Amino acid sequence: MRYRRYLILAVLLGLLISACSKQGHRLADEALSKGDYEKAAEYYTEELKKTQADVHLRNNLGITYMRLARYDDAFRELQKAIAIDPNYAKAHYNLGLVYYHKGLLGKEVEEYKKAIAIDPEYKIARMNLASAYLAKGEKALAEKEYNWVIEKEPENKKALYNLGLIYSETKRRDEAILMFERYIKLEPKGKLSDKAREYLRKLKTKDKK
Amino acid sequence: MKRKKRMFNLLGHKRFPLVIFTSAFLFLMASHIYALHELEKIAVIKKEIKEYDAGLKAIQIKKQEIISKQDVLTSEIKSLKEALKKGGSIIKEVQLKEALKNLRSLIMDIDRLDDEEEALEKKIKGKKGLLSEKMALEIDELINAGTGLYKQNKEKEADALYKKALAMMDEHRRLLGELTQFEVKKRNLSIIEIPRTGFESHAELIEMSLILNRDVKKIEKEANDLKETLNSLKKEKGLTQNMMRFQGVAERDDAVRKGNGLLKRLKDIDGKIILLEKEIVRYKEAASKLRRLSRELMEDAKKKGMKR
Repeated sequence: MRYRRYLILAVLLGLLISACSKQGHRLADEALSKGDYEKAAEYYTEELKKTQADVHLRNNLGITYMRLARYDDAFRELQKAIAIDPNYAKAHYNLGLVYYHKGLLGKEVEEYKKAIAIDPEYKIARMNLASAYLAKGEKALAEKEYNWVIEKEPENKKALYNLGLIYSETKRRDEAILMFERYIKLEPKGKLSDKAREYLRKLKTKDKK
Repeated sequence: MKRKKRMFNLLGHKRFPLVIFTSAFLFLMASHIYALHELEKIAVIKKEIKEYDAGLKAIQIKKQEIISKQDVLTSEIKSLKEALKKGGSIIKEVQLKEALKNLRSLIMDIDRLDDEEEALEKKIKGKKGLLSEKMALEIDELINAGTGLYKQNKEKEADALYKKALAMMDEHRRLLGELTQFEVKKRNLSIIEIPRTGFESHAELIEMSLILNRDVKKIEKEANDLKETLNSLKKEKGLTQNMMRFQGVAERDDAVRKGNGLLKRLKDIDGKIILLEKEIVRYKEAASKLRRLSRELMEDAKKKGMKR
């Protein structure tokens, strides 16, 4: 009987701690989504004192530091998140972003690739990998990634527009025309629609010639 | 069956923990030595680069000193020549001959220093390339070691290694920048007009002509190097402009706008291209002027040879 009382007490205490922790988590996440990064960093750091090996907390603290342009701190947190769970794709993706901000293109590509290897459906990682490939001047590899995205998400405007450009630059007019037409159909009045129309017009004129 | 028994014996052996401990210790020591080895290699390469840099600076200072001497000597020769035109004097003639001899020797010295400078610059570039490779490997090693320590709950030690990795990453990025950036150095191309007395011997004229011809080749080679740099810059410009056309390439992180960075980069490249194009014209002009002077000297030498 006496033991049962202790057991109930322990369970209650556990629930209380868990509730407090969830509260801290929630506050931190809210601050992060509101863009109050200083506060978010404070909450996450506080939370991590209680549970050091929480991969989500580490990852989110990494994002928070990145938003505060504290890239070295972000790097450390994300490395720890990866140490806790090497298969946590988001941490690899965010680490890729940190490398992007630090101007380390090679490392950036490596991390996006790791994220995609873990989660092949990771679209943003694929989009960023394609962008990084373009920054390296590797159009064929970028094209492969954009095509993958379009197959899964046929209305991805960014991928359509960029593929249009890649096809146009690599002299594949029909494909380029198709991509720009699809883009304009989806976004007739977007900020790049006029440019897309211009490319389309040029491509069609060349065709006639 | 026997093997199983042996294994069982090993596991049950009272020294088994000792064996495990010793193996782990040896493994850790080996990895530590390996890490140290790589870091030591990096330190050695850095030291070599530092030494080469110091050597390069010493050569440049020496070259500058000789160029200053050359300027003084050239004006001295000019005034001696003027004096000789007004009225000959054997002393002045001897002085002029001596001054010309010294000038030729200075030109030879500059040539030699130019060669040494070029060789050192090549060595430095090679060493920097090697350093870059070693650093890339070391960065990965440091990150892996940091992760290993973090997994062992040694957060502070892990942080220290991550810090080292970050510092090395920054250093590596700077190094890569140095290796790929196109520094446009404005070189002093003042053409040495070897003052003529009209009394030069056939051999002296040939020697002077050959010196100038060597300079022509050197300047032409440098002009070609500049052209290559210009082409690379134009390629980089194309790539940057292309990046700006695509969506999301300049701004891979939606939360941060970085487009202006690319515009700045483009502006920098444009500035360098303008400077390089001007430099190439200057080099070409210098080379053609020197070639003309060299030919004139050679023709005079031929005439003198025929008279003899």
